[in-house]
Amino acid sequence: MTTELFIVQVLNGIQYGLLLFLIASGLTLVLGVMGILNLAHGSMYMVGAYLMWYFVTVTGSFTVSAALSVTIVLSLGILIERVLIQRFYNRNHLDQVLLTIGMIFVFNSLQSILFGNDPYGVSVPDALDGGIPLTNNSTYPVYRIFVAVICVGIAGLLYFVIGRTRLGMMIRAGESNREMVEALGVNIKSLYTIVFAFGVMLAAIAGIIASPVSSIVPGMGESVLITCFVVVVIGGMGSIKGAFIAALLVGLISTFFSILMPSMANMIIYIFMILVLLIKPQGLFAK
Amino acid sequence: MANDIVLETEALSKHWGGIKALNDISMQFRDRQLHGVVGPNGAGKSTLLNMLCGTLKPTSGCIFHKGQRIDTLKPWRFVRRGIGRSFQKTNIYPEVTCLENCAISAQRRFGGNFNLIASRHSNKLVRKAAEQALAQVGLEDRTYTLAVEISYGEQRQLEIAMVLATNPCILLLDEPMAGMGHEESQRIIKLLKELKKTYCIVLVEHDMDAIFELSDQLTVLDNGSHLITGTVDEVRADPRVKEAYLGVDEEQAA
Amino acid sequence: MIFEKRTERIIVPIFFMVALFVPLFLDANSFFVGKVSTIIIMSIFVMSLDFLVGRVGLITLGHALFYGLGGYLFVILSPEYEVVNFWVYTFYICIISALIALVIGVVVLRTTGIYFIMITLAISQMAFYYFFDSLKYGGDDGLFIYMTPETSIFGLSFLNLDDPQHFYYLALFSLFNTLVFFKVVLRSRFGRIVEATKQNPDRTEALGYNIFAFRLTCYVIGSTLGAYAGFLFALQYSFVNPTFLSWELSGTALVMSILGGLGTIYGAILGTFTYEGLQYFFEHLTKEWLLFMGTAIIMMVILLRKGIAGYLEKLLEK
Repeated sequence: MTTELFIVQVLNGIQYGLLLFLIASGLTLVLGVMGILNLAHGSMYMVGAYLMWYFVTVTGSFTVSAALSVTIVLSLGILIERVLIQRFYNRNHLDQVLLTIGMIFVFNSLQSILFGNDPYGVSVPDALDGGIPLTNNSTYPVYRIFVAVICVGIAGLLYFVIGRTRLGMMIRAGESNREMVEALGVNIKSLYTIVFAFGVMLAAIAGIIASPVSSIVPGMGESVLITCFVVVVIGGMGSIKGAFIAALLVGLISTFFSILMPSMANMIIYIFMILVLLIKPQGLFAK
Repeated sequence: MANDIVLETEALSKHWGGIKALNDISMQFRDRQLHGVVGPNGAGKSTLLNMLCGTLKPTSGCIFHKGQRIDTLKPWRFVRRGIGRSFQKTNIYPEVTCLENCAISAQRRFGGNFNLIASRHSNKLVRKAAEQALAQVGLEDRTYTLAVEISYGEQRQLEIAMVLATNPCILLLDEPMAGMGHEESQRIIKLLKELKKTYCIVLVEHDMDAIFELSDQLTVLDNGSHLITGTVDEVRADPRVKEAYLGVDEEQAA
Repeated sequence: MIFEKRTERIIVPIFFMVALFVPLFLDANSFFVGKVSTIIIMSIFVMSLDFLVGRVGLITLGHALFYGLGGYLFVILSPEYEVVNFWVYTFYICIISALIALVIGVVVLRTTGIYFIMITLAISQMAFYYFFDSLKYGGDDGLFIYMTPETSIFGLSFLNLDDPQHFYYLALFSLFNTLVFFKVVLRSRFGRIVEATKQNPDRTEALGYNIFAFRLTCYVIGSTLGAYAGFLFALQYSFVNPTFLSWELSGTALVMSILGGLGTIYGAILGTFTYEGLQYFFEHLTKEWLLFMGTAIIMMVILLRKGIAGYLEKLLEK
């Protein structure tokens, strides 16, 4: 492997890892704060990507489409939490698995009804089209850098919100002690709605910004979901910091294995996860 | 005298991070004696009991059972050596009958636990042992009642019956009388008086009258440390105990 | 009596009576016989999952691993152009699956709760991609079986696996045995401790039982029967491919067992037949049957909390 290829792969791995983080952070928040195992989380990634494709086709504007898609998914998140998820806070994980499998079915079939089953793509917006020279004869796409920057930005924002704000304080307290938060006079119902909708939005944002670099196909939600669960488990349930580090590790590992050992590429992250769990049964950054 | 000692701890400590839940405890428990353990809340009584039954591993120090070191064993190995414990928080099988609760406890001794075919009801010895344990605590008339449906006090009695059904030689009892009415408490006290003739009993209890009445040896723990061990009269006379204990009594009264 | 509830004593005989006699009035090659055989095989798989999830308390999202294993083992073990004996291969497949389940069980049972769900999922995904990416085992196309096994015992053969009706009765016989086997195991002394472990694991350990050993034994039993179901399915359709191992199959089986009434064992039959029936119905109604299926699942988990068996028990028990 040449140095040049190596650098490109490192960049690709980091960018993929950051994207995974974006989705996994929502998953781990919902799991850690509310104890909800949401298998339909990947569907929101898919919904984000399909909405993005639709709006770009209609309006032609990347920014407008992104804004519209985020708004719709956010409202969808609030709706789902209020109508369905809310009934499941005191139910066991099994019922949650069942509910969210049902939701996956519904979302997949809505996708097929509304958008059909052809693969789609979104073109890179003009302003971000082009490459940054790496060496004399190779470049790295600007858009991929843009994706990474957005992800890092959101990660920073998450870190700030959870670590420094009143909302974040309530979220952290809600993880450890639900009764206490309620005793403090916080409306736990609204808090949960916010966290859920916010988590779902993160997945959709990932779908939106990834749409120009990956194809939009049926079933994209499930494949990303399982990878993100791997990230969440490796990082330790509910830990944002753990999810960040695990996502980067998973991103880099799978990128490098797809070059070095293609036959192992799909398996390697699961092997990695099993190894981590054997050494630390609660994940790397368990609480 | 020395071979009377069935259970012994040596410099036993448990630290949670920087907090010393239990520090440097060396105690000896003798056969056919009731050894009371008292102390204010957070003194480390439950931690001690959890380590004596193997569910909690000590940070340092050892536990010996009849001269053999056992603190590194898995919890279920403790039970097989005859160390049985009851729980402070009622810890029973709520969805089955009282008889079945005791049958689960008793079955281990009679073998066939990996027998996939023979009906669970086929071993009469298990049933007899279970019935006997229920009779010991006075729950005969609750034999076929679901454990979830009996009163709280009765559940506490069932808790003890389940330990007895394992046929232990050492009983570790964590506040068996907590939440019981006077009459039920009297019954348990009577039972324990009977039991201590044959078992080594370690009793953690808040009910001071009961502890004073029952204990052959009494240990006071305070803040994770060993304060004093002696007979009831020795402990009562000790000024340090009054200081450590009365303070908390006032606090509890408030 | 291994069937302790009145509902079981009513439902189980009715089901097996109907299942036993209906094919006699139908054309042996009819679609119905083949389809119902498949559903019966699925019921065995779902029942083995129901045992693990509902009775042992091991929520696995990777049970399809063993379904696929049963199928792949059969194809991989049998020589390509040679007729093998069904009973001998049943034995081989069960023993090898049990050994594999033992090894996997030792690893996965170190974890609990969500971590257990996730590690079982991860291991089945690993197997999925192993076969998916493997040229040797046909990749995503899978493998085909060219020879149907013969079924003679001591030279006597009374079963022709190429005959759909014979195959149907083999599947039904297997389902009945699976049901009786689980019922016997759960009633046994072993079953008593398994039940206790599910209800209150800490207490069971505090009573001197090595709960790991009990869970591991159950994991091996459930997984082996799951593999047997996969073997039968591969036998029926003469092929195996990675979808046998997909997490969607694990998830669907979980839905079926909950729909039937989790932990009731006989409910697995009700759940599987209802699910497959609904799917068949919606598929014929509309191309977008998944929408109805999904909605039905959501409604069910909200409204029918104890599954069909739970509902029936409410009606039939005093």
